[in-house]
Amino acid sequence: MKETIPMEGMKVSGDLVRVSVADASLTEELLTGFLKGLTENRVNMSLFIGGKGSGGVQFTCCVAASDQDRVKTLTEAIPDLKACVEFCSPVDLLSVFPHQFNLKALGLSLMALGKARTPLHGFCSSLSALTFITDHADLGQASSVLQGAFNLQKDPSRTVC
Amino acid sequence: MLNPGATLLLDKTLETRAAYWESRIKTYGFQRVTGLSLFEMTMPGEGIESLGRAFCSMGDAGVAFHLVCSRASSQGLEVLLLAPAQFTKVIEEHLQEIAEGAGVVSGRTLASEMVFFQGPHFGDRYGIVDTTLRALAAKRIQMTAMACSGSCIYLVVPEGRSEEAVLALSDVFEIPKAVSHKRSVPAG
Repeated sequence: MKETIPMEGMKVSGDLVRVSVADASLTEELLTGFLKGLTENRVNMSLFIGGKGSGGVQFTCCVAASDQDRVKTLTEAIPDLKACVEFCSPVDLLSVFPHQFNLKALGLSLMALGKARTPLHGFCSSLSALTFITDHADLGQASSVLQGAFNLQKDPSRTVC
Repeated sequence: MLNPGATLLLDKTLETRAAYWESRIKTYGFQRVTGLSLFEMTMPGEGIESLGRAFCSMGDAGVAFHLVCSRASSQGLEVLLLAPAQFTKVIEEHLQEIAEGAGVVSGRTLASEMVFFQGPHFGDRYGIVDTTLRALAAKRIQMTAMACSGSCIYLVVPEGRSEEAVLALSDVFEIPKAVSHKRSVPAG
């Protein structure tokens, strides 16, 4: 018998662009310069995941597609930043909740997405939700896979798009 | 009375735009969690099912977590798991199994602490991450990792640095008077 754990709902935040520094590393000054530019341009990040290794800082963030041109303009003004920033669009954030700090909820999600060969650009926990970054083209598949993993399809009113 | 230009603008644009901003950003207080281990690993994208299986096993073994996140890199997925240090051995055993099966490119474990906080409309506002990292830079506190998802800001710092981080953040963010900014939660 397929094992599931209770989840109450799912939410989609769409029409986003993923901005990332993944193949190079930034100095902290370049990262703060980038973030300062976002603030000056009033650009909100729907998600930010950053880490610091021995080579510097790498990050992935998601911004609204309508902000993409402004973000490109501000990165182009900083050559060292422009050289390592990548834009990937369109992407969506797909969240399931509540995870109740149970690693099994994430494990079941990853097993289901991996089995369905749904490409993932990242994921992140918050106090309540597990959020997955998917290509917009894969949103339908990812949504079906997670709904199946958590038996959410029986209560579509709890699925928010 | 509105001038004709404003009336014309309102006639053409039905949308109302508003921004929430304070000169000193309000928070609901900072929470520190000490006694944590940060597990970092890089694994090929096709190893995601194995990673999921390992997380399921860890969940069955009662492993708790404070933060888990991942981002794509040229080598696959960079995965971070922040958990109470008491689970270090059991997590490393499970990760070792993934390393043997799914080909983990690299991995390390770091003794860490975490500061997390929320504030009004944090999920819908610009400038929070910028302010956070500038506050840390001003006090020369280096973050190991950072994640912002929903309305939560998570900062992972090396062991012994979370109290300094909270003090640095308290210089630039507003904290409620009734909440102690030194509130600390031991892991576990």
